[in-house]
Amino acid sequence: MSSPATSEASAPPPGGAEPLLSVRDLVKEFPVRHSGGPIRGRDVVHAVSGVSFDLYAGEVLSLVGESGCGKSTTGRCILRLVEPTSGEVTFRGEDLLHKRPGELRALRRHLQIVFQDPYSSLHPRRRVRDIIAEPMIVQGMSNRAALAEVPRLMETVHLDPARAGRYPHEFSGGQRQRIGIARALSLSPEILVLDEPVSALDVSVQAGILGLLEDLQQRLQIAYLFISHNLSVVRHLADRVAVMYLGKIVEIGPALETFADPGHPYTQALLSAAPIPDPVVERGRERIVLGGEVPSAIEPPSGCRFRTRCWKAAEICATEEPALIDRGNGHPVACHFA
Amino acid sequence: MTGGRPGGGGVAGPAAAGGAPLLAIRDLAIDFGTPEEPQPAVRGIDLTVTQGSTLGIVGESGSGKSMSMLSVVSLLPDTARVSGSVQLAGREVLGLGPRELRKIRGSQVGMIFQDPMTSLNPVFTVGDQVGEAIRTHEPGMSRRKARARAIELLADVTIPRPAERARSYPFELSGGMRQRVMIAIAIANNPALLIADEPTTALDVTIQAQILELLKRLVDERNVGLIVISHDLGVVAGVVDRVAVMYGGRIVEDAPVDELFAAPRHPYTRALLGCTPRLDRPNASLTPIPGTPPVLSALHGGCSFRARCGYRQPRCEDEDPALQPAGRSQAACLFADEIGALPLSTAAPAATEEAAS
Repeated sequence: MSSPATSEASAPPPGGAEPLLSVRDLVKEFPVRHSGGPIRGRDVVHAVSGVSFDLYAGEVLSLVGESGCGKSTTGRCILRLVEPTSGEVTFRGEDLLHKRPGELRALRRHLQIVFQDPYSSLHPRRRVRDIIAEPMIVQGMSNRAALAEVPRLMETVHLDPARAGRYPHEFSGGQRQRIGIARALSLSPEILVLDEPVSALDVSVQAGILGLLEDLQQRLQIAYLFISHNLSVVRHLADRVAVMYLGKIVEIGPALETFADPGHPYTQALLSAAPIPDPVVERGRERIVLGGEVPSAIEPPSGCRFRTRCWKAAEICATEEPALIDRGNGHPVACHFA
Repeated sequence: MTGGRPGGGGVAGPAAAGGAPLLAIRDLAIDFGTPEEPQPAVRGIDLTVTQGSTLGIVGESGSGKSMSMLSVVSLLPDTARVSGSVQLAGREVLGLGPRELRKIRGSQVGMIFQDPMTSLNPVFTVGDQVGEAIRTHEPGMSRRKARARAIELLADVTIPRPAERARSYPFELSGGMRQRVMIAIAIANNPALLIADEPTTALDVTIQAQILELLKRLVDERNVGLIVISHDLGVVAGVVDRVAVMYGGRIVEDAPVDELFAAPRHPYTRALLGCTPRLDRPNASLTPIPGTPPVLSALHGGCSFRARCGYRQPRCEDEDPALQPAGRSQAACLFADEIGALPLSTAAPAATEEAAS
């Protein structure tokens, strides 16, 4: 896959430009039902706890973190596939969270999503052409006009339009992911939420999908909210990264800067834990192996949520939650000691 | 912390002097079809693992990496037809009856699987399960003693508050803790060989780092042989001395780890490295491998990788090269020496068939 010489250092958010998408203080709490055990009031899982960020036109912003950090829930809240508990999400200044279903549907054409699992995200008993055409039909296009668009969309994702009459099971995992991308592109969205789009694929196939996404992004100037746990993949694609831990963004900044000089201890640990396919490099690395595990999101630690695993933790970390502000790193970091 | 072990370089080849190797696999083939309609999964592999050495087996889905190792402990489905030879410390295991196999499993070979939730019994405490593993091989040991030993093992795999944790059920533990319990069971009877099949694939990257550190420590402290099966070249790079790359049911390259990454001699190894994103090389372009892995029942002569190979030559249509020495490595490619000499940055010539993957 060709990758034209884009300046990789590009696109910290353009200074004056209005963000395409603004997320402010997004909160999602899932109520917990205790089966069997004693009823302990109203426990909730704090999946997303006050997340704020902007997404600018044509940029790739990556939400990165480990399982349970709230990255996927954040993506789904933005599209209201999951109803957020509170907060504010605006697209081009229009509030998405208080729209009625009809109005929301009209706005959704601008925000589309590609899911992780190319096996469960395509209806097994519908033909590929109907899967790809569906969003256009939902948005009011006639069946005939929508189906006429399908060959072009299949070509865009490098699938053979002659196979439009086939069913998903006749395609490989990578091809199915291409079908999902074609479906998401059918409405020419301005924002694509990509929720772990390559995690279910073998590396040889993953590279093809990443190349396609890169290529589409440059050609169509779509903004990506790229959700992933894989730092190497994120590093490859993202202009900016937001690192999440236990429902909060702990660091957000240009990818180049953040990966080269991470300010938050968690970002540092995460980067140092990611394996590099080179035995010489691996042997020479100073690895930060974090102790313990991610605490329960039902009772997250007070103050800084990372403090229970942090080697820098001090008293202040338990009492005072560090704000996500620029502390001299050139980008915001939520750590008292950054 | 570095992964280097003093003198840990188990180089491919015959066993160290004095005694049989821990594991010697010769011409192993596994087939799920019938003699009339074969469905091969593994098509003739040879592997040797010596004491204290570590081997990575790398390949993508369907390459046969897990199947070949399941044969070592005879855990293949009943429908599998297995041929060839698998010797543990000089003793043939293929064709052994269930009683003998039970003696071998756990005491000579410990297995660690990808998903610790489905590998543990949900209705027994983890202490009971580790204890049971001990008592299977030492039936004379009292329950109390087995429990005490189980707690020691849980401590050894760095489970905090092991005595308390021994009373937990698997569902009460996180994925990382469950994987530690699996490792405790695997080492309970001091096997000389550990086989870890995608041990960290289900885990988060910070937990993966913990488990890999633990495995490295066990190899150092106990001088066991370790086989790590993984789809992730990065995981293997930091843990093992030697790597076997599998493709289409065969080993296509078997090399000391440094050699494999510095001078890959099989085009598939090279292609795998070329499509793996690297954290430290964000601007390197990724080259997908065109096409899809071969359907093994439909292979008719020739190299199984040729359809996807950017270096293929007319000879590749007819000849299916066996693994042969190339420098310090072994590779199953007619042009292994030439390919090993290419600089790593050379992208393979495109062998594109559009949109096959």
